[in-house]
Amino acid sequence: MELLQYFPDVLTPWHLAILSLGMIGGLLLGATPGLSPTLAVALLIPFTFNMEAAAALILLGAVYTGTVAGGAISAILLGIPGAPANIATTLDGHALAKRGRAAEALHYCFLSSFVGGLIGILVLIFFTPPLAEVALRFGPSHLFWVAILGVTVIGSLGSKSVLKGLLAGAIGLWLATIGYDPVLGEERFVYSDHLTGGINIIAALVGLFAIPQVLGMLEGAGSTGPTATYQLESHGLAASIAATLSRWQALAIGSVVGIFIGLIPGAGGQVAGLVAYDQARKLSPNRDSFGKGEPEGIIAAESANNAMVGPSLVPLLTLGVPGSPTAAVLLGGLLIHGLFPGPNLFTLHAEVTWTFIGSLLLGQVLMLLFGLYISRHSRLVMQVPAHYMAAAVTVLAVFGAYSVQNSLSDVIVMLTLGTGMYFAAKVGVSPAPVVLGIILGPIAEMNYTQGKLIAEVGEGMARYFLTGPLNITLIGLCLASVGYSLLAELRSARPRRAQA
Amino acid sequence: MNTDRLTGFGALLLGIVLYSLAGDSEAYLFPRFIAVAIGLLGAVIAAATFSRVLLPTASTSGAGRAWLKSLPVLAVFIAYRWAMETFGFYSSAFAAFLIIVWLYAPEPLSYRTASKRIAISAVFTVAIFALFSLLLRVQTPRGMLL
Amino acid sequence: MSGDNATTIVAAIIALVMTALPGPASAQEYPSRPIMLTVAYSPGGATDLQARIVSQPAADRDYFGRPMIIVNKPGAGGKVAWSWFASRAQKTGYEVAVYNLPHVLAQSIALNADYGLDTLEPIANFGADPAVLAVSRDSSIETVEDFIAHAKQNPGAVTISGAGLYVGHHIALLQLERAAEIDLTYVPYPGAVPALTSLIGGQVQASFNNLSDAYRSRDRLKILAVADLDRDAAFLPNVPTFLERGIDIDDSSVNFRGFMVPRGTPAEVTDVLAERLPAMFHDEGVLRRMREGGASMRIMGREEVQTLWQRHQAALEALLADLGE
Repeated sequence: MELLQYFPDVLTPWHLAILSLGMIGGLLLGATPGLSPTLAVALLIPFTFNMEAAAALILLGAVYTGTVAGGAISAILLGIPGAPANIATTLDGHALAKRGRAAEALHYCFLSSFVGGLIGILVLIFFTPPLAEVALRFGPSHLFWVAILGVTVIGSLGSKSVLKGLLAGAIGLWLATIGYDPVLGEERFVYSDHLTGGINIIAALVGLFAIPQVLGMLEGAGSTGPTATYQLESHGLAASIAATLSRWQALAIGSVVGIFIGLIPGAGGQVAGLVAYDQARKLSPNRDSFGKGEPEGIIAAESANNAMVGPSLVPLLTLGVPGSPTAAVLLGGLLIHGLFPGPNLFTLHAEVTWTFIGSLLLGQVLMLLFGLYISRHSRLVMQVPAHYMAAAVTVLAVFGAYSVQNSLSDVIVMLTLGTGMYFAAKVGVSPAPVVLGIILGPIAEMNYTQGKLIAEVGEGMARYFLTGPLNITLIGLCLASVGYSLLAELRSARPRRAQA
Repeated sequence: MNTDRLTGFGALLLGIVLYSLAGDSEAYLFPRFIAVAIGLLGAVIAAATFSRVLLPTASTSGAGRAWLKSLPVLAVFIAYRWAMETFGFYSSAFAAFLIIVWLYAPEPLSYRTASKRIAISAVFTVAIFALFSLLLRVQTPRGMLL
Repeated sequence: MSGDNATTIVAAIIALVMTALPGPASAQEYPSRPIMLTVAYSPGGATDLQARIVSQPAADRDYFGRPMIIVNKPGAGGKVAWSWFASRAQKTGYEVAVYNLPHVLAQSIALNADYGLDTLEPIANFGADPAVLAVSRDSSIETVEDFIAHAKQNPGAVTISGAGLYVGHHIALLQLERAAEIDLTYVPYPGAVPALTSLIGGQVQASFNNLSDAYRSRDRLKILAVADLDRDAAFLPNVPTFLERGIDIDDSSVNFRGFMVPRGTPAEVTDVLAERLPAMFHDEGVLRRMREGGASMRIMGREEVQTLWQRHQAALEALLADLGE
């Protein structure tokens, strides 16, 4: 097997040093509120210019893996997801941390990340050629249904009321229509120069989560001291491992969903965590405790996030089609070293390619070790006084929003959305559905419009969007998701009506 | 009137406003559709507050007047946004950090606490500078200062 | 921590920050500090990568002696960056931007953008990536003539993908429709790679795409023709141009990349740029890296590139006016 042949190349001191450094750096960057994996990898590309190809890819791969896992740290400790992928982690992870069980939440997070990540990389190693063909099958109609599948999750996401969740999601969908329409070339709702480029998803994510957290911390500041007024319990690692493994259904759901969504080009890993979280809740006997600190929620979300990393590289390495925004940036890293995606990558450049894949595998182990080490020190973050934490998050949010595209407009959008979200939260609206709306809106709209262009000159709208095995499967999943939500709603409404 | 009813009518109004803002070309098909959805959801939420069946949670009573405490920091946001371009990213970050800490610190002001706050703000600003300018090479706009 | 210690630390930090501040701007020779290079697309894209490669030797004493620092301002197909650059960039020579030729002028004409020939001044060109017409390997179409015949039999029913509106691919499509008197359905994608993938995956019947991207996927495609004045000798010597086949498509759709400054930048600064940029593009390391990256170079000096812009402005105005009302 080729991987074994080239694996020793990963173990040279120089490569190991780069891998460890990239992993630690990635975890810390990912844990910084406002710094997303895409941004971290993009900003590191210039540094890889003068490295040899293998070292450059090892660094970028390590930072990618590290930031995806690190984004969960701020999601759990501060309630601010490091990337859209970590939104689902926030829901139960932060709830658990607020009960004083931050270290335990981080244990679940890193253990499930490790399992998911490992499975994802193994899929990349063993199934690349057939899966690449699957990825190619996804056309506009299928991606449209994938987006709709995401929309069906919106209502039940983090909101206490399905109606308010849907309302928040609809507002997110609307926000995403601001700016220049890429298919029809029209400018929509650009009432200010700052909106020409539309609402950037990372700037929106930072604003919608970080700013309400800042304001919330300050509401309580003055009277109380530290951010965490709750007691910190210590939790044994062995107990965490046992607890994670005993929730194998959540691990399995997360890994499988992550792998499939990671494969779909463009729909991206941004929704993998959310869809997995939703499925795990629907199938879990503990579904009522989701959102209140249920370990299964963290496990499903994080195993999905990390399981997506490997498969998102499948279409990238074989076809040059990135499965996630971060993978798109990695493509640039490949090209700059003269490595063109395609079959040649595994023959002509086998040494570099397999060394890179080997380093991803080893990277998962390092991620687990460093992550667990960081978990032990989570109390340091939890004990920072609220006013200092609020000030730090404010400044980081501003720098993070700016750095995404070197744009002051993004900072203004971030602060405005964040302040609006703070007041919206007062009436029971939560930020997760808004962000999901902003992510899914453009995917749904663009693929609908493209599909319409193709369908109208061909087989017609109904046939194009509604027939074919892939369409029917996806529509079935959408219907199942909606149907199950309705059932659950009715079931919980019945006793309430009896009481009333 | 409870907050849910207010939210419902607010969303209904928002839906109507957004619908009227949308142009009538093909590019506005999606925004119009979403505006209708927002309005409908608002109407249902408002209606539910009369029947108490559809909306599971009782009205979130809000945290009362807690939001008044966040007014100073909202003013800081506005000033910060202005200062970024005028004075530069790092000097305004230092000022914003210090002012937020100052406004919300629980301890009484003394020579000792004041110098501690200034020192922490400065250390944080230098750390931010090291992370963004030195490590990540982000180019921030320059104002009168850094 | 005692109060006195803290004051010392604060003083030290303030001193440190002061030394990092830029000194007073003296009338030193240009350039006396790093030059910002604005790229209108995301990091990792073709334009970004090529800009990074060609600007890398800037810090060399032979060229500028100062580095060029890439600032990515993606958004709305380039509009965000170019609009900012034309209206708000400093006219000092320390703000330079990368242009993509048909995009910047076509957007200015078709979308009434607030930038264009009046506000931007091209200085030197480094790259050219022509649009090629490609169909899937499994297609029954073998030549451009086949394609046109097929389109005539199915008016409006042939779908063809490209990397968005008013980019080279879209211009090439408009030229083909006009020259061959056919009607095609253009399906814009958010980038060249997704547009090409849609062809490989069988979602659309044909694609106008970058020569470089199509070349990389040539095993899965049939590349019918190049929309340029000459064949591409380095990568696709066997693929004819449209002109050779008697179809009147010039180089209006070629994606030319180069450096520009906002109009109004002083002549003594633009002279320095005009003299040293082409030299930097000819740097051995640059040529080698571009070749390894599969990107073809086409280096032009100031006069040549300004004539090119004038010519394209006229051609695009004519083309887009036809298209409109």
